[in-house]
Amino acid sequence: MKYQFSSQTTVNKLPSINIPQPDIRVYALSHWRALLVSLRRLIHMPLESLTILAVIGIALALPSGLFVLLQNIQKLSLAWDQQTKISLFLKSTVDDAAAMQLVNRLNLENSLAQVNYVSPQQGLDRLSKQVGFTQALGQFNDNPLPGLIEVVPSKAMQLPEALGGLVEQLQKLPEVDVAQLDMAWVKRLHSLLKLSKKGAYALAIFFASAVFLIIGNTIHLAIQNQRREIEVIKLVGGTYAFIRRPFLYRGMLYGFFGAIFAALFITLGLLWLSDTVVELAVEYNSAYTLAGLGWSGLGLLLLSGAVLGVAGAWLAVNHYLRLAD
Amino acid sequence: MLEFKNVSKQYSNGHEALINLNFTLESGEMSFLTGHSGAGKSTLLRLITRAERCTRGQVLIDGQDLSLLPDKKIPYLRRFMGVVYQSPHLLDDRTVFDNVALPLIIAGVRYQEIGRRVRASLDKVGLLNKEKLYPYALSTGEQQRIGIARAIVNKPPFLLADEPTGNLDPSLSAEIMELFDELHQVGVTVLIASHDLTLIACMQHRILHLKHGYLIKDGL
Ligand SMILES: Nc1ncnc2c1ncn2[C@@H]1O[C@H](COP(=O)(O)OP(=O)(O)O)[C@@H](O)[C@H]1O
Ligand SMILES: [Mg+2]
Repeated sequence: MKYQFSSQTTVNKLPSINIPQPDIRVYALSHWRALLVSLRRLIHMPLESLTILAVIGIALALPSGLFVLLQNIQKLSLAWDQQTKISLFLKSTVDDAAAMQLVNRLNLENSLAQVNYVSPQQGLDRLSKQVGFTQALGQFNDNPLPGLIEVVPSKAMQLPEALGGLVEQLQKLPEVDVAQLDMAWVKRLHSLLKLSKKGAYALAIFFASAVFLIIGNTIHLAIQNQRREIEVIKLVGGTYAFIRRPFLYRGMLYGFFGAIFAALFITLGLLWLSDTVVELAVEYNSAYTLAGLGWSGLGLLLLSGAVLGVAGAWLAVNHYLRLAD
Repeated sequence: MLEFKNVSKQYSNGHEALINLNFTLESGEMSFLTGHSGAGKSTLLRLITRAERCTRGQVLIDGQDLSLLPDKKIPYLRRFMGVVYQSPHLLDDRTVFDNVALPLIIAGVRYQEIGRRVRASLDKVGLLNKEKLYPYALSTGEQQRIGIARAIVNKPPFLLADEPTGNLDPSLSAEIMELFDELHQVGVTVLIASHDLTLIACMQHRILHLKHGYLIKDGL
């Protein structure tokens, strides 16, 4: 063989062993390369990667999906809040005509903004339209429902103290069996929501730790598979930062794409629910639609995924490098 | 360039691999390190790459005491020298090109520049046509030459080789030695551990001879 020594062969003259001045171009280039390398590694094992991403996706989708649901329930309850209703269940001896007379009298009251009569037959129709009730109700020969008058108090009466008095007053009417303030369950729903939110936060912390550990462990296995490569990189002058970088990017990609999977799962889940919700909304003359993650929610989800991924990878790589020393 | 001052190396199991070595390599000098198997040749080279630390004395490169070199500077010490290992330490899942390019990737060299330098380096070891192959498709001798190409790809001022011709047939060995000699002629400081005495004898270079960890001969 023939060796050709051209102008190539000029030797680097390094006066001493020194850490070179930081150079943004070199830095950016090596980050770009690390990202490419880690992407290539993910694509290289598509089945394995998809499995891990699906697992991360599910773990992220559970708490964030719960948050979305709670957000929706809260939105719904806010809509109801504006409209505190009092339900007057009439005695069974009160017929439609007597009920209508009561409605007319109530309409004259200043304290009431709206009065609406629901006859036993209308009540039955309402119920039977709702899924699942139809068959159960078909078994009754007689309509078991009492007549119902729904009243909405005027703005001035919406205050809790005033409402109490109003309910007491309405309860005393001879035609009324029970006067029930719907507020009570709205309040209960609120405290339930608060509790659920706390639970959701706990769940979020739990699943975030799970994602952190899953990614940490995946990167740990990847490092074990690339031990030889890491050794060779060290032999030819690779810094710890250089060794670490592709693994950190890989962790970030797992977290980021896992979060995209999670967003997908949540969207699919909401789509599946939305049919039912639209049906119910139509039933209640409401324009209520389910809210999704939203842009800020999606951003937060992706960011959390990426951060968890980098953190998990960081733990695994540093653990390895410290052992190697 | 390189100076050993009263250097001893005792491994953690108590074995004394090197005992009180004193010698200097001038910049641009070429020398051979010889001695029986187990004499301490690899250990000596490992002290220079800081894979090991000496237990007594000082190893100095350009006046810098390697035992005082902080750990985070070790990678930069290794970029300053090309090292040819006894087994070439190639990565099986990368092509010949990517293996040789590794030191340049680490140094953050641009793509166009990498292509040029890798091909120049492969050309020097006579394997330019193998750049797209994977290491397992090469003979042991060819793998060894890829290891050499990788060691010289970033044009280091200092070249170390640990029995680089151990896996090669005599004519290839001679050609590799000729390559090292040519690098020496363009100013590279070269230190080669080898026990191929007949080959060394006809090269007319300085010889450091080790025996049971002692430096017993230093000269032509
Ligand atoms: N990591 C180690 N721990 C303990 N003893 C070692 C280690 N490496 C080498 N030795 C011993 O040190 C001596 C010199 O080894 P080495 O430098 O590899 O010799 P050479 O390269 O000349 O064959 C040998 O006796 C060897 O057994
Ligand atoms: Mg040896």
